[in-house]
Order: sequence, then C-alpha cells, then structure tokens
Amino acid sequence: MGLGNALKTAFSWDRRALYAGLLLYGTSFLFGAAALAPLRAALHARLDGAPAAAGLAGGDLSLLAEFFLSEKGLGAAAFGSLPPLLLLFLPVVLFVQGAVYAQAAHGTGEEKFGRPFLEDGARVFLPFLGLVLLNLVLYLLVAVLPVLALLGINRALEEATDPRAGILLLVLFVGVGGLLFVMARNGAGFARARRALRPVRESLGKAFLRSTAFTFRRFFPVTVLGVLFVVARWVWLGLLGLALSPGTATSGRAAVTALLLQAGFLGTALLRVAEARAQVAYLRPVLEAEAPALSEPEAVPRPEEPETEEGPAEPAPPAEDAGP
Amino acid sequence: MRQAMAAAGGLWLAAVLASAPARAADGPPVLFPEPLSPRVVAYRMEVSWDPAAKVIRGTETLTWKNTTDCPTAEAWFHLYPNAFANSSTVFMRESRGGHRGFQADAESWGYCRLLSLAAAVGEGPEASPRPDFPGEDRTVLRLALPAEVPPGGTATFRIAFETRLPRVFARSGYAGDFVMAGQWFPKIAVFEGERGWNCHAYHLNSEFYADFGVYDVTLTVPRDHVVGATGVLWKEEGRGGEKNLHFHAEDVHDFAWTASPRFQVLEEEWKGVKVRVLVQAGNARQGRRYLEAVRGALEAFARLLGKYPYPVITVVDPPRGGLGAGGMEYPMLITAMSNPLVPRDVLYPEMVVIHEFGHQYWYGMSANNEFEEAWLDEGINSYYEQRIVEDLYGPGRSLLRNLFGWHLGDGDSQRLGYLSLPSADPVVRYSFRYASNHSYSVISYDKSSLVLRTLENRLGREKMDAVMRAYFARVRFTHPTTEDFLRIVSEEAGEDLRPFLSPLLFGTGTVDFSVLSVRNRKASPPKGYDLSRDPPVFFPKPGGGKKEGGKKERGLWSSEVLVLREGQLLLPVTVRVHFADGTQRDLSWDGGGRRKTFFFPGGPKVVKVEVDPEGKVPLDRNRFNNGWMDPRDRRPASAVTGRMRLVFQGLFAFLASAL
Repeated sequence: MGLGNALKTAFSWDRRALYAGLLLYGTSFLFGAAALAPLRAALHARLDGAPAAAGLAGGDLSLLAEFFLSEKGLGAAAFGSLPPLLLLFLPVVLFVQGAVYAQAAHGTGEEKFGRPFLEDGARVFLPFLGLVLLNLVLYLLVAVLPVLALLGINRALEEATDPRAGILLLVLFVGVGGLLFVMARNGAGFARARRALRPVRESLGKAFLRSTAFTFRRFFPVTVLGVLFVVARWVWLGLLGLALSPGTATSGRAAVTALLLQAGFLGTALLRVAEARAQVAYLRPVLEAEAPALSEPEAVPRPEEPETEEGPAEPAPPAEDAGP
Repeated sequence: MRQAMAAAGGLWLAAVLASAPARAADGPPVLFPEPLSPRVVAYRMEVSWDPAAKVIRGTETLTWKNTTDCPTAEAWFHLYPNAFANSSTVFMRESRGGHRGFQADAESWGYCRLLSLAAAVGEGPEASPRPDFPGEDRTVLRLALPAEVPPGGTATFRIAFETRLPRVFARSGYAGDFVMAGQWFPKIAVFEGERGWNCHAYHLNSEFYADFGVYDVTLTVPRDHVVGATGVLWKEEGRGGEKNLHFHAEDVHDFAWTASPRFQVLEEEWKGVKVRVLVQAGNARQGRRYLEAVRGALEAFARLLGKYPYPVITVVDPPRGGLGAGGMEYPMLITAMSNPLVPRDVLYPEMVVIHEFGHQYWYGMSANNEFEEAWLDEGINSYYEQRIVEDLYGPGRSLLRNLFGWHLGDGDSQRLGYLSLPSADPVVRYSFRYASNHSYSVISYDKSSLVLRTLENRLGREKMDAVMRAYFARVRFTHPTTEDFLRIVSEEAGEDLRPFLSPLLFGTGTVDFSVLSVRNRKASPPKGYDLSRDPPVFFPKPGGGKKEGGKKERGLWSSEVLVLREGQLLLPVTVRVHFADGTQRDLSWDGGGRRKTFFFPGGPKVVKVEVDPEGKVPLDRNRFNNGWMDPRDRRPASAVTGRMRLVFQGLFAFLASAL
C-alpha cells in the first residue's frame, strides 16, 4: 500500500479515530489546566484587588515582568507543578497512542470505542513503552554524528562575518534537528505499528530492530510521511492561531483567538491519530508480503460473555409426515 | 528675465562659497571658524593599518596646552589597548574575559607599545623621557617632562607607536576583515590643576575621559577598504594597493575609525549633516532602520537641546562575530547592533542607535569623566533615549510592538532594570567601585534615568526641558561634574533642588508606597441634643428626616484610608480616592512620616484607592501594592491566565504529538 493509500486510510475517519483524537486533545487540555491552577490562584489572589494590574489585560509585558520581580518565589510556586505533571502526562499519552495503534491494526470495524480501547491500551502499554525508550536511545546515538558535524560547521563559520552566515547556521540546525526529530518519531511510530500488527509473534528486540531497519530501508517515503504530518500540524496551528486570529487587543478578540487555538490543538490531536493510522496502513502490506501467514494479528481476546441461564430445551421441530 | 536669473545665480553661488569651510592651500578645512571648545590638544597622526597582522603602526605628534592655573612637570597617558595584553591586566581580571555577553578567545589579546618617544616643553629642547607605569597595569603611563609646563604653556610629544588590536569582544578590535579602532592610540589624560592628572586604569566598568581638541589623522588602508571615522575626509590619495585617507576633526575629544572591504554605504543628508551608514552586506534592511532612527534622533535632539553641530555622523553596523564592537559611541561615529533576523516589531536596533547618537551630546559635547561620574552621560542620555523612542514609536511599545499580544516600552524596561537591583550602589559612584557590572549598568543607566523622570514629574515637562536645555548650553564642551549639575539645574529651575536630588543621587535609598488598609463604616447619625440650635433640640431620628426634593437620603459612610511609605526616600505622592457615587478626589502627601491616614466622614463609601495613579514616582519599588479596590476586578489576572493556559496547553499538546 503506497503512501497515497496509507494517507487515504488515515483520513477515513471512523468513530474510534475521532474519539481517540478527542481524548488526546482533552488530556492536553486537562493537564494544561492542572498545571496552570497554582499560577491562576496566585495571580487572582494578588491582582484582583490591585488597580495597577489593569494594564495586564492590554498585554503590558513590563507589568507582568514587574509583578514576578516583586513577588519573589511566585515563579517557583506557580510553575512548580509543571515538571511532575509532565512526567505524569507522558505515560497517559503513550497509553492513548498505544490504543490508537492497536485499534488501527484491527482495521476498520464496528467495535465500540470504550472498553476495547482501554483494553488495547493496557495490553500494549508496556511493550510500547519499551519500544519508545529503545528508539530514544537509538536516536540519541544516531544524533551524535550530525550534531558533531553541525558543531564543526559552526566552528568553521566562526570566522565568517557575513550576517547571513548566522541564518545559514540556523537553517542547518533547524533542518538537521528537524530531520532527526522526524526520524526518531518515525522509528518510534513504526516500531509500535509493527508490534500492533504482530503482537506476540516476535520479541520486543526483534520488533525494534526490524522496524528500525524498515525505516532506513524505506527512508524516503517514511520520512515524507513523517514530515507531512509534522508540517500539517504546524500549518494548521499557524493558520488558526496566527493567520486567522484577530489578535488580543480586546477581550473579545482574545476570546476568539483562544477558541481558534483550541480548534488548532484539537486538529493537531486528530492529525496525530491520523499519523498513527497512516503508519499502520503503510506497514500492513509490507508485513503481509514478508510473511502472509504471520501477518494476521492475533485476535484480541474478547471479554468473556456473561453466562446465561439455560432455559428449557426447545421442543424439537415436528418430524415430517412420512406418508401412509 | 535673463538678467534676473543671472543675478540670482550669482547670489546663490556667493552663498555657497561663503558657506563652504575655509581651507588653507592643500590643508584641512576649517570646520568651526570660532572654536566650540577650549582645544586643549592637537593630534596629528600618520598611521597605517596592516590587516594581516591586525596592527596599526604610526606616529603621533601631540601638542598639549595647560589650560589650568597649576604648573605640571609630568604628563600622563592612557594606553587603553594594553588592557588586552594579558590575563593580569585590570580589565581582564575584572571581566574574566567577558564583556556585555561577548567572550574573549585565543585571538583577543592586544597591546599598544611605544617605539619611540620625545617630549619638549614650549620652545625648549626635546628630550626622550623614560616612561613609567605607576598604575596596576600598563594602561596608565607617566612621563617626567624635561621642564615644568606653566599655566598657559604647551608641551609637544612625538610618539611612534604600534597597536595590536585584539579580536573584538570589548568595543575595539577586529573580526575577520572588519576593524573597529577605538581608544587605539596613546591618549593624553586630563590635567585637572590642583587635583593633578586624572588617569585611571582601564576597568571593566568604566569608559573614558579626555580633553577637547583638533585631530588630523592620515590613515593608510588597503584600497578596497571602506572607511568611516571621526571627522571629515578632506583628501584621498591612492598609492598602489593602498590609499591614504586624510581626516580632520575639530572640537572633539577622541578619534575612532572603522574599516572593512564589505561595508555597503547608505547615505543621506539632514539639514547639512551627512548621515552615513556603513552596513554589512546582507544587512541592508537593518541599515535602513538605522537611517530612520538617526533621522528621528537628529530632529528630536535639535528640538530638545540644539542642532547637532558637526558635519557628519557615521553609523557602523558590525559584522557577525564583531558585535562586541556594537553599541558604542565616539565623536561623529557610533556603532549599532543588529542582524537580519531582528523583526520590525522588535525595536532594539532603533533604541541602540538613538541611545548611541544621544551620546554625541552627553559625552561628546558634555564631556563628563566617565570613570568617576558615569551617570552624567549614561543616565542623562538614557533619560533622553526613552523620551525620544517613546515619542517616535509609541509609549509602552517602543521596544517591543507586539509579541503574541504583549508589548514593552523602553521606559518600562528601564524600570525593570532598576527593580532588578535598586539599591546596591548610589548613582554617583566611581564606575569601577560598583558592586558588580550589573549594578553599574542598572544604576548608572536605568536608575539615573528614573531619577531624572522623577525630577521631570516634579518640575513639569516644559520646565524640565528648559532647565536641561540651559544646563546643556552651559556645560557643553566642558567637563561637568555632579556638583555642576546640581548647581546649574537649581539656578535654572529657580529653586534649590539639592534637598530633592541629593538623596536620589548620593544615597541608596528606595521607596515603596502601599495602601495598608481601607475601612468603610456605616456612619451612625448623632444622638442627643444638637447644641448648634437655640434652644437645643434633639437630633432627628434616622429615617425620620425630611425628604428633600423627593429623594431619599442615602446611607452615609465614615471611611479611613491608611497609606504607608517604606524605604528611605521622602518623595511627595498623590493619593486618588474613588467613591461609590462615582466621584474621586486627589490628595497630596509629602511623604513625611511613615504613614498617612485620610479620613472621609459622612460621605459615600470608598471603593478604590490608588497611590501615584499617574506613575509620577517611577522609583516606587512595587506598584502592585499601591492600590485597593472593592469590588475586586478579575479581568487583569484572567487576561494573563488566559494566555498562560494556551502556553501550558500548547506544551502538553506538543508532547502529545511529538511522541
């Protein structure tokens, strides 16, 4: 299945995909609100009765900076919950994404979203965590060479006095960094897709090595796929948050901008779900071609159906009259 | 008709000829027929720049005049490049190899050495005195003169020298084929009569101090180098692969120059002043921003203090790797600081250019001792800088126009600088005695500017402008001191401003006004006999009073507002009280005592109190405790949390997509 068909499958939304996207978006929303809570409380406690705070509504950055300067310790108190929440958020996101990959591996279907989603997520959580961590280690090692190369270029350009040399360096750093980022994400994504399609027929290590080999073998289409989704997310966010945004000059405009950004965040969550589905859809025929007998995913054990009481045996249908 | 046109043409030609500077045959032009300054020094230099070795070699003939009442038998010189000679110098020890965020590297060493030295007093014989270095390093040189120089007498010095410039990280040096030569030659110090020679070592936290005079400099550089310098270029001669450029400057106290084969030149003229921008290839867009900013500064300073008197102003755009040379001022030459990525909404390049141009007045013409009283140029100039950028680019948005809905003004950023370290040092302090580089920066620039804004709020803008215009007129082309400032501004303001200004300039005190409490109590009407009536009658019962005009009498309140002053500074302040009926009253407090209570008996309830509602005490350390209000207003905090919500959520959304 080429890239085109994989993308078509990715964007053939079904209910599960939509709900998964909403779940990802909602998780970010809730964690963001939780991280903000201490700062919010502190700001209201100190600013609601301060006439000098009026300029903050208009975006006076000096007032905001002055406020944090005058309230020593506020920064630490207000932002202190961010690191633990980030740590808590990571496994939640991995859980949700894992369920998305697993459900995509089932193919389109009419299964309900709720319990099967949770079961799939729980089932694949630990192996997927292992795959993501293995991939992270791999790409930290892979990044060494290009980073050293970039540092070498930076050093070579130290003598360059043309101001445009700085732009060149920035482009190189962003380009190489972006490519490494996409490759690392592809590695983690396709490793999970492979594991979702072949849940127990190969070990974690093999799944990781084979999916890594796959991403390098099919470097170009895999990278294009990854770049497409990264760019799509930024374009979507930029379109809503910047191009269409009326700004924040008034409270009405700020509210509209905030709503547009919420739509932006929802869109990026849906695109993440679509990306996972695209990766699974792209990998499926490859695995089928490799080992058709092994390509069918093991059926997901369904929950045991509740026992029903046996009622009276139905009477046997009357025998047909044999005749005189 | 033809005759009329010929007559007009003749008149025009006569006017042009009359306005052209006089010039001796094959000599430099006379820029100011009447000297603007005492012209204590006359430098004649012939130097060549060796771009391969990064060395300036040449000769300097200096005539120095003793304009004091005291004789002297010695001469002191600054050899500023020796600050970069090795790691033991005062500058390198204090800076630890860093200056304004730029770091020295293995190529950042330099020196200035004298190859030969001869001195003569008046018409007397020439001698070759042996220099000695009495200071902590070799940035200070002392010479014993062959004879005493009497008051009004002169001494002449002939010096051959070699200066090796460092790779630039602190103002002067090279970066690739770019060179910014500042403080590059043996420079005579200032003789202050009874005080002796004023010649400090080159410290991290200090700039410079020198006498006014005339400079004639012949600079030999490679032919392809574009050069900018103090003064006017009055002759250019080619010589093979090199060229000789002859510069002449009058009534300045320094000579700096820059060169690069990569400069692109943008030029325009403003009321007879040539404005020249030397911009890096690829940075032309920023060059146009510099031009616009200089034009604005020329107009503003002309209006506020008088027209810029010199014929040229050059703005230098340092290259990548040479930004350590940026943000500096020299007579008729300033260095900017920018790169192609700085967006239009970030007005930092404009602010730097306007600040450095302002130094043409505060430092260039009002030539205070920057070692000992840096605030007289940095502080006063910062005050004018924030006024001008706010006028040109809008108050509250003069540094940052719009960054995701946030904006920042230059004046506000000065206040932030002050708040970051408000009281470690007084404003008037030897610059190298500040507690730290940060303290030196925020006190001599930011706090000093706020002190002047406080003075402006006291006098009013119109009077402040008149006072400062008069002060500048009286001190220009001299070396003013803080004492001169206090004396002259008091005279011009018509009142003794020392009691007001001295604590602000010589002390480390701060001030913080706050509203300690607001109490509103329902007023109880009086009971018993009203003795103002004859015969006495009982006070009417509440609610039983006659209704006037059909309106019911409203409830009365007895309110008490308690305002506190913390900190050592005694400054007057306005307290604005808002009442429930929509009225407001402005009350004055002279700041005396620690607290002040305001009573409001028998009136509407107090619903809001603002201390210093118009921000006339910019030295107040905390504006957020300056008020009280009921009901409380959730909107400001909600506006901030609304923005922060998007930031936090965005962070989590990014992670959700990135994994």
